[in-house]
Amino acid sequence: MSTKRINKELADLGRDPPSSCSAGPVGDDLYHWQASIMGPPDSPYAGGVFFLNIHIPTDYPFKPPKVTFTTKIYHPNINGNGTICLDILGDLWSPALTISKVLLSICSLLTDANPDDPLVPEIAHIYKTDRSKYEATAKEWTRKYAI
Amino acid sequence: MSGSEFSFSEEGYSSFDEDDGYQLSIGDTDVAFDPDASQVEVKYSYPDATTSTKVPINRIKYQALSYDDVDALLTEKIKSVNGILQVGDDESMVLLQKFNWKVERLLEKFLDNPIRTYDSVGLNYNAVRVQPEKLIVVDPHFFCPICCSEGSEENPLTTFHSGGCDHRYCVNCYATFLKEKTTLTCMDTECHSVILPSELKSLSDCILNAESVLGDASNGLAASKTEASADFYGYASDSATTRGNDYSDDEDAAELDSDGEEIEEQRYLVEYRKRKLEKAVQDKEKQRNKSLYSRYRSKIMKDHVSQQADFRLCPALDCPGIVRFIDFDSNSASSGITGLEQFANQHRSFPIVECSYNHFFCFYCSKDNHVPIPCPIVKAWIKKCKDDSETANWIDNNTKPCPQCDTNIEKNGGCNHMTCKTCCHEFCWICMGLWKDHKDFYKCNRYQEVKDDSPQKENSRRYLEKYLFYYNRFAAHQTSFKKDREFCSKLDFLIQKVQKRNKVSWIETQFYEEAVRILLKGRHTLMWSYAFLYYVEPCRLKHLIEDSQFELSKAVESLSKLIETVKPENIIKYRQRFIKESGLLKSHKYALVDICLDALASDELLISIPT
Repeated sequence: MSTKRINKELADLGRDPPSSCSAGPVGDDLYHWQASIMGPPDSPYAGGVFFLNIHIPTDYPFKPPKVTFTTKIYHPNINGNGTICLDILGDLWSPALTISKVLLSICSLLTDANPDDPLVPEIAHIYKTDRSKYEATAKEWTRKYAI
Repeated sequence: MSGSEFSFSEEGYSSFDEDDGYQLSIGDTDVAFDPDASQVEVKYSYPDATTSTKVPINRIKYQALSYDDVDALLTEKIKSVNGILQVGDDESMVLLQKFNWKVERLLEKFLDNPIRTYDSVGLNYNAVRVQPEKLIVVDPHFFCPICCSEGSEENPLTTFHSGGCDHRYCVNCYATFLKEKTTLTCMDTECHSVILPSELKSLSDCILNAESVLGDASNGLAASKTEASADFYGYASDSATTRGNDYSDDEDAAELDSDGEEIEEQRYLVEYRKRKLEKAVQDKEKQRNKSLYSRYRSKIMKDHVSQQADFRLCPALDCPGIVRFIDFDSNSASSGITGLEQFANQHRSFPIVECSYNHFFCFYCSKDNHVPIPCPIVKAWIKKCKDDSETANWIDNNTKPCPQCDTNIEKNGGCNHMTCKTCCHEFCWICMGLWKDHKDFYKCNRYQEVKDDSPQKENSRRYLEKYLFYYNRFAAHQTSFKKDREFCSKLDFLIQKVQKRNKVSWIETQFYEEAVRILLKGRHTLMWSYAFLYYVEPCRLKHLIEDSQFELSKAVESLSKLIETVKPENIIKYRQRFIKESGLLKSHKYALVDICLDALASDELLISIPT
């Protein structure tokens, strides 16, 4: 039953693609996608292109997709393995959400980090205490890994 | 008792401790139900009120309840709350669940500000709920955004939405979404509208109806599948009807020679396995057929029970039994016990209860039947085993203490000439003697009586040895107990075999089953007695207990051997011995329990539980 839904999402993505991201299956496997996100212009990630891996569970959409960054990124809610700390990918997942909505949420997470619920406490600390240092490091990482 | 602040007596409920005169205070149970309300027998915990020497034992009064009993209690509780709130059973249940079934807290909040209380659980106070049946809509033009199925004129989609919003999805998606949940809300990301239990029931019934229509169509397929699995086990499907005593078709089998017997044995085993498989399939079917609503209800009930201090779920695997605490008996009351913790910390208290499925367990610590050991010792022992046993075993197996400074040394090479890193003492690994003595003549090969009088042998090692002594015995009996229990699970098969071989009736084989059960219980008591003795300081009473323990272990091993060695066909021949030995074991078990209880009651016994 999930194939119907995934195909529908794929068709919607092709017909009406979101402005700053793209996504699609890797090869023939409908349950393994690759996605890319453009760094939001009003963020230190501007100019970078970030790649993500998406694994869709067979009981999708009743269970959330597993989304991870494959491009290194300096962010309080994303760790060195690319794991993303985002509520809608966990407890707050709803079957009414889509891959496209998830990607847009990740985009807004890049603009507005959530340092109060950090995955990497060190980055969150710098984010809160020395914002310019955080932005400089984030820009540096973007230049190094995402351009 | 809390609930009495509200006039529950008018509604027909009264606190259950009122009529007994003494107070019960275990946690904050709110609404108390009259124990007579559910017609379940009130039982006393094990063991009996006094030992053989008339030492009084503290007991608790309890009821072994079934799922239905507790379900009825829950319904009553909801009704009683609704009696005060007047908001409807459904809403009362949702409110109660959100307030962790604490009636008092709910009433306080609700009477203070009903609208805010409603908001806090996601309900709308002023909303008029639609009738649950009307939430199910059959729509030929519906497109479900979840599964992306589309309805048509021939094949319309059935949809459902919560009574508080109009976000519609197809019933199958909604059911999948709600299957694992205890808090029921709309599927939409922004909408937090609550789905009421009656609305869920309506959805569940709708799915059940649809399934039964489908089920009729696929019945033929299911039948052919069963046949196939029967063939797989080497049996024609018609043999599936062979049950219980109905072995008339192979009446002559007993006259087969030894080869034939072996084949016959194989046949029985296959038969037995097949029946097990069938049962497993049936159980799975049952589980699947449990409707969405009944699943939800049983989850709610478990949630409710686990929040109540006077209820316990039976800890046995998959057991649906529930035990409800009623009161302490007069012994405990006269010794001034008011709380369960206080009760369990007494040396003469064992809140061992039996659920409706015959599992014994401790009401206080939810461990299995640990008579004759009081809960604090059980707790200390289990903690010790968890902390120490693995490390201790490893140290015991892999290291030796330096003869001079007692540092534990692990041997990492082949050479037996050891030099202690800590104190530079040189010694021989084999005989633990001084290495310099080895230069002139090598005495390691001569056997010498162990003289353990080294004064500086460290205490910790002694403790470890003592602990390992008791632990090894405890663990050995635990392993045997598990093995015996495995044997027990095959018992029904064996008994049928005995019946068949000896052409006797079921009732005539009962002594065998009884013997196995007595063995299990005896071994269990024996196992715990080792944990007990670890904490008992050497004294006259300890010797008495050890003597009794010795008798019990003899009886246990003897019966165990008898059960293991006597072949099923000879069981009837040995009937007298089985009965005699199991009787003996039983009396030794009671003797050990009695001696332990007497000892616990006496001031002579010194127990040292490290804090």
